[in-house]
Amino acid sequence: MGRWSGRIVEVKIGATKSEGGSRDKVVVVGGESELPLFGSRSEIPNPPVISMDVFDCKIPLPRVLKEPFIEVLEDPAEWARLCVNKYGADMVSLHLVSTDPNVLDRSPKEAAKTVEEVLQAVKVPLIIGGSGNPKKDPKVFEEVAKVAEGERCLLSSATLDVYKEIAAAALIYGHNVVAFTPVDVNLAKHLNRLLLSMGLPRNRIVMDPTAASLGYGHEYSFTVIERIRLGGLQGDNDLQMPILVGVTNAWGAREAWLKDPSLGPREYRGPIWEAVTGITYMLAGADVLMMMHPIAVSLVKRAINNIFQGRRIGVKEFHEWLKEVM
Amino acid sequence: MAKLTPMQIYMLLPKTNCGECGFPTCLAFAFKVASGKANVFACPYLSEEAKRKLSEALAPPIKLVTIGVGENAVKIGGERVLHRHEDKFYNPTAIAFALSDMLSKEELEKRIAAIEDTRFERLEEILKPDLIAIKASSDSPERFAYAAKVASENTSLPIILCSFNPRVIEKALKICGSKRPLIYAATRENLDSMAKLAIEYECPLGLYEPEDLEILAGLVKKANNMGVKDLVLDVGFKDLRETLEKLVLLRRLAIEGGKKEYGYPTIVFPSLSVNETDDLADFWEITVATSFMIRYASIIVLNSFKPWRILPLLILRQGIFRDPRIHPKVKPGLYAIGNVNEYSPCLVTSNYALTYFTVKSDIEASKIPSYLLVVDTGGLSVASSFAGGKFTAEKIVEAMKEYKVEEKVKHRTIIIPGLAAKISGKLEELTGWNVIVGPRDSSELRVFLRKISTT
Repeated sequence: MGRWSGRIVEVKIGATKSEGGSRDKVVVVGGESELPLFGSRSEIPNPPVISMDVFDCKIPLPRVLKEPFIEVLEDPAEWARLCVNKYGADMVSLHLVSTDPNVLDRSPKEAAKTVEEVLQAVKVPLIIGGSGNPKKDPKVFEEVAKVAEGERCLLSSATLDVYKEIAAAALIYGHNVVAFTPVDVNLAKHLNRLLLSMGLPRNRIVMDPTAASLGYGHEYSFTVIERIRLGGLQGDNDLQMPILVGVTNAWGAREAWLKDPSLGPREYRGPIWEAVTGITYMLAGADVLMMMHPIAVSLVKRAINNIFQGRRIGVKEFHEWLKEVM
Repeated sequence: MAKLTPMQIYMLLPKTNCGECGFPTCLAFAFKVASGKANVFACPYLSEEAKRKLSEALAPPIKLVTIGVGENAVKIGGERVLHRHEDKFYNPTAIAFALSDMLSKEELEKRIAAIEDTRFERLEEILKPDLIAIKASSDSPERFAYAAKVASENTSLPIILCSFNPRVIEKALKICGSKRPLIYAATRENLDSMAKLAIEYECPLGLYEPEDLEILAGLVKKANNMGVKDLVLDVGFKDLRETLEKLVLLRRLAIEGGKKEYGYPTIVFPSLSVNETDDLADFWEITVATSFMIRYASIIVLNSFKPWRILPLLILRQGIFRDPRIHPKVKPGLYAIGNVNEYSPCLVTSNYALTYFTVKSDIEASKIPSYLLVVDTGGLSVASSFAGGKFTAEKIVEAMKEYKVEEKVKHRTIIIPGLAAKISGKLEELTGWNVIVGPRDSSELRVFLRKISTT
């Protein structure tokens, strides 16, 4: 018996053939009735999942981050395949950045074609991200939600500006919605209520309360995530949705990519920046981690396997370490 | 022990309203003390009984322990809450680097120098490691004492003496015992002799009990009874999840359960997770340390190779241990970002530190050198200060005058944040300058600045 009355809602992402989609497996997130490490393992029925980011056009990326994907940067389908087959991504998050009028201003139709290609290339559930442009996103989502009908994707994201159109697209074509708010518990609650008032069921919303990079507001995000999760556990129905974090934001920190030997090699700094950013949000309660660098992914996976799935990882005997002259 | 109410505190005060504490009445003072905004010992007239009761009741559930002496002394523990938004975290997790006593003198000196050189300046603070742990790989009193000597001569950081052999510890204490090192560690087997050393040299004592928390509590009581009050607990590290769970449990037992025997700072060794065959060993040790820092470890001991690896830990710590009620600010002023000249664009923003640093890095990413006028908004973001009437055309005019923007640039154009678009008319009217409304989010500055600099 736990200490809380509330429980986080379970959200299913992806649909198999029998459910009207074409995914090989479905990802379930949420369902917690305790913070990670604060209770028994049964109180966290679904471990956090990693979705690897794919972009639909060339965008400026730090060299260390670009390197593992250098062959596939212009082919989202190949890129997605690499993430799943080589790096073991649980999901793929496809970001339709090219649709932004300030980038390539690609049409919703073109974006829809990319979505189709990626859906064919990989069989894991999909997160579909817009460009963040409040004028363009509604048109893009209308179109891509349609081609992905029945696949129960996660549309990212509904904001206070464009929640109506995104929620409508999700309702009509059978998808889930990411509710994005800027580091603010009350706004997160408010947007959830607005989405619910549109008729979107509770189990089709995932919150993105903004994951700042380590060193650039990370502690604010960390605390907002903890407060949202504790609020949900304490019984606030409007905060009981699972939490998604854009961990790749970590690369926005200059310390992650700057060429500056006094900070140590950047081959180390970038991946560790992403891993530290990710693991902290995960321990605060985040359910879906959108990530990018393979090393960071593998570090966070290791931690998930151990912390959430109880797979032990070898550790030295203290006496052995004491003797070591390293 | 739960927090005292203002009334409970008031009852222990002299009730003379003398005002010497800096507050007009004893009652006002009691309220400030209860909310943590005043120190009760600012009252010069507390009775002995009141002093005893208050210090007991107001003591943090996790005991504050000091390692080392002088300006580099490290304070750990002293914590009161499980989550930082409930109050704040008080004493940052200390980072220690381990050195074997079997290293040569030259190697020890080289490593210590590298540790001392590991310093980063950020948000006007110096971030650096805190402690050096000497481990008795040799198990020889002489060798260990020698290493302790080399270390204490070469570093100003406090030291952790690591050995389970009291004879080995004793020899080193003769060398550096006056500098209040942490003795690590007493166990079920050696508690008596280790505790005696801790008393003789007035040093804090680590307790190592990797099996059983009840036995650990027994060791704590025994040490307390012998007179050792400053303890640091090690619950062992055989499995990451298990240790994290124990750290969480200890903290909850002390804070929620009022169990004094668990109310001590803790020490963990992420260095045990380093496996030579692991390609990611450098990364993994820091990842493990991160999770320990997030979940309540007071001291983290790392291997001493590549000490620059701790940068992300230092930055994590700077954020998590900041008071969440205080908005960090930067000094208002006109900042030159990049190699500016008198035709560089001029932008305005708030003096909330995070806003400033974000805008600054977005301007840098645009590669268009620019002036950034930082207005005093009391440390609030643009959105909050605009809503609160603190980001106004008048405020900007004032700042433009004070920081002589007119003399710095030849053009007469100013770019304001998109979130404050509504003040553009007023600002134009007051300054006669051309006011451009910038993007709502500074991440769009890259595109925006390039566009306006080509037109």
